[in-house]
Amino acid sequence: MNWSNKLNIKTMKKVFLIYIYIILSSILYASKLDSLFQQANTFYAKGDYQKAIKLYDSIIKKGYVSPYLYYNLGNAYYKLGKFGYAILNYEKGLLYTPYDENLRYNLELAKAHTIDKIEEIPEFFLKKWYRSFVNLVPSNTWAIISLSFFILFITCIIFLITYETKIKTLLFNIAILSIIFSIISFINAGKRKNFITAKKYAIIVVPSVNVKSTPNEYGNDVFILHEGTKVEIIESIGNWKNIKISDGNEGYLPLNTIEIIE
Amino acid sequence: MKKYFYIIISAIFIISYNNKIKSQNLEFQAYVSSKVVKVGEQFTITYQLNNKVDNINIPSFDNFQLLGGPSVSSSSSIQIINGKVSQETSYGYTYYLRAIKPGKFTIPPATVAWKNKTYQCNTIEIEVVDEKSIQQTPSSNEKKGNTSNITGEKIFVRVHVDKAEAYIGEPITVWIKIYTKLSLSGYDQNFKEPLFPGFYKENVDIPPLTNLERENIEGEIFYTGLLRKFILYPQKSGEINIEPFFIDVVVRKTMRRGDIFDEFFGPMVSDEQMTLKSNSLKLKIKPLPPSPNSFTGGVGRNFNIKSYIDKNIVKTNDAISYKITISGNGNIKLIELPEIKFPSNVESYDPKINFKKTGETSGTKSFEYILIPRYPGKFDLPSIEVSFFDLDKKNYISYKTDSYTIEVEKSPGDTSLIYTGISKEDVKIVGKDIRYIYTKNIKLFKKNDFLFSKSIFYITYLLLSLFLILYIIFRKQAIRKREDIYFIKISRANKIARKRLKYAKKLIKENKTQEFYEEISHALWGYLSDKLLIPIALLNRENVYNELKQKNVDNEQIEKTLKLLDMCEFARFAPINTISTDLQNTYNNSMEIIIELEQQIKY
Repeated sequence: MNWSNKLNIKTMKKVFLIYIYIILSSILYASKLDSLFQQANTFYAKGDYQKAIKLYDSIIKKGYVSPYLYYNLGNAYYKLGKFGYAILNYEKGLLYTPYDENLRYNLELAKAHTIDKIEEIPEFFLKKWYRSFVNLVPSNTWAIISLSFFILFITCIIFLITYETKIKTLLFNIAILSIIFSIISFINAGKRKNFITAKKYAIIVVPSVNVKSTPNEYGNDVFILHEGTKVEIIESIGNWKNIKISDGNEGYLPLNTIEIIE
Repeated sequence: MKKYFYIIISAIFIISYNNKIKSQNLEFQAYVSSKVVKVGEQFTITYQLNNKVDNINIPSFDNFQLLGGPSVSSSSSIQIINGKVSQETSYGYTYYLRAIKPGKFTIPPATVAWKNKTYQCNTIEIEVVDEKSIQQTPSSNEKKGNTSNITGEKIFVRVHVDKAEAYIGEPITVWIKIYTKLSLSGYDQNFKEPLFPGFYKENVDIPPLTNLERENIEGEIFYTGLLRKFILYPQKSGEINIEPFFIDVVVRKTMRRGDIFDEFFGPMVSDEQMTLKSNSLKLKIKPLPPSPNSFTGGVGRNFNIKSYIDKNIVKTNDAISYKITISGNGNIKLIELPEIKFPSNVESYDPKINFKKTGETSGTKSFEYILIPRYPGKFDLPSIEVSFFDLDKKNYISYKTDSYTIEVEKSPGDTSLIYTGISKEDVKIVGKDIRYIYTKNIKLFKKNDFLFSKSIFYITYLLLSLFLILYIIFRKQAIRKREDIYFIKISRANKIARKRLKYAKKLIKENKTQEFYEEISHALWGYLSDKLLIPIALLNRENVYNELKQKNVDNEQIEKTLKLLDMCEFARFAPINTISTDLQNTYNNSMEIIIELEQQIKY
């Protein structure tokens, strides 16, 4: 009995040490990324946008992102006159913070340099409202809200079946509401996540491209799109993407002419 | 005197100058006065030269009788154009001949020697018609019917075609000729030629009719003249009748009175107006065999198609000239190009079409497209395929032009390229700059790191749900256990009560009044406690009443029960003589009450 207890303490110590190591190293790693970010900002301030882009990209390549990182990267591309990539990065940033004012402002400026002016089909207002509701908080926040409401629901139920109290109806109402809120938040967490991971939209990054009627070189040219135009991806066929523009027109584009917003 | 002197000097000068510019080549040609002559008729042959020669070696005029010659003539003309003086002199050597026998004869060329060289003139063909046959023809031709209409008349017009059968699009040459034996003094120049329905007509310019030529028509000599000539391009298939047309002519008739006046004034002459009716024609137009897609209407021979491009590398907004030329013999003018699909990022304009005639039915048609690439990059000008119907092969032949790849470079000063799509409102924004980068430390997070896609998130829900379910099950079981105890109590209540009553019955026999009442009381209270699930501690008159009321027991029954209970209670503690001794009755009463309650109390 005695020795097994000791062993437990030893393993506990080991696990604890590993935890500390992981936390420390991640903090160190994060600070290294932060310094990369600051370095990139310095290059940007000097006007060396190429180097700034390289450094910002290196952070993203390590798997770390931030809407501000995309914002700065977009700005660097804008300054180089690569409006397609600028728009791409602003859009990427807006995936995470759909209402960031700076991102929206600079995106509008970048869009002013694009050639295609496509009439947008206005979205149904209820859908728009719902979308802005979903976009209120990030996916993880929705997930935590959902979980909290679920716990509240369970607590209410346990109270209801254990005790005979005078606030029976009130407890019951709270339980019903919290399970509804929990389900809505759960759905929103999923929607918000899908919004970022769906890879549903892309930006054209070549000066001009002919949209074909079939997914090969021999298709007829249906219409022409220019750098910076946002397209919706409907389907992938080999190296070709079936795309749709906001006025409802459809066609096929080779993969290398677009960059997906993800 | 001085004036004359100058004139003479200048004349000498001009003559000597002329000698210098005398042509170095000898032009030597032969002409006859008419190519069709009657037997016995006299005609002339003239050899014309542009330099004086010593001697002409004339051929032996076999089949003809040489009447005389040569009579030499010369003519010269001086032309001064822009101060340049040119003189042309021609010398003619004319021989007089007479036709002896009918037939077609060729006069061999004559030769001359000039400056150590021998020159030859052209040969001449002459047709000699027997006068006698002319006199015979009217009677024989009358039997031939159709032709008699022609030769029977002394003057007529005819519409000729080079072929009576043609494919759609195949050119047909048509000419209108007048034939006359009478002297023609005039005709309506603006006569209405026949209508050619279903044809595209193209006029051929011909020199104005000045003198008529002799022609042998079935053994008769007619003076003929070409009035009009044109080319028809059939547009639809089928047999097409060309209706005859009418033309007004004026002929001069001589009337021999056969008297003495003739010798003084010559024969009497009168102009007479006549209206001539032409022949009708039947043209058979054959349809073309099923055509390939690239066929654009070209029918003929020796077609060729070529394309040119003025440059391969171009800057944006610079024009490229892309020219396609079709040449050949046929309905070139009517040929179209198939629709060319230019890449959509290239601005193209309608082609400039140019048609140049190189012959009556041959020509060159060119299509010049102006292309303006608006965006840098590469684009292809595709090869164009055009099919023609070849009249010799009676089939379609297709030709292809070259395809070109054109590289478009961004022109350095081309800023308009970027701003083309910007409306006025947008330009205002362009003047502004983007907002500056975010410089504070940022919170970087792992990309695509979502609670929603982690199993721990779902497991939490599952565990919480499981906990709730287990709790509910536990609660239910506990409740059921309690309910089971009640059930046993209730079902046992009757039994226990009866047992007690049985014991009470025994006590009646022993006449133990006090004990009897006690037993009855116990039995009743115990029964009520078990049946109504009232704990012993709370067992009293009010509680029993309330519970029974709640269980919907009759008021009468409740009254009865309570009365009995009261009685038992009273009997237990009262002195013996005051109490009723009717023990049997009390026993029966309590039995009845229990039976009644058993029936009325229901769960």
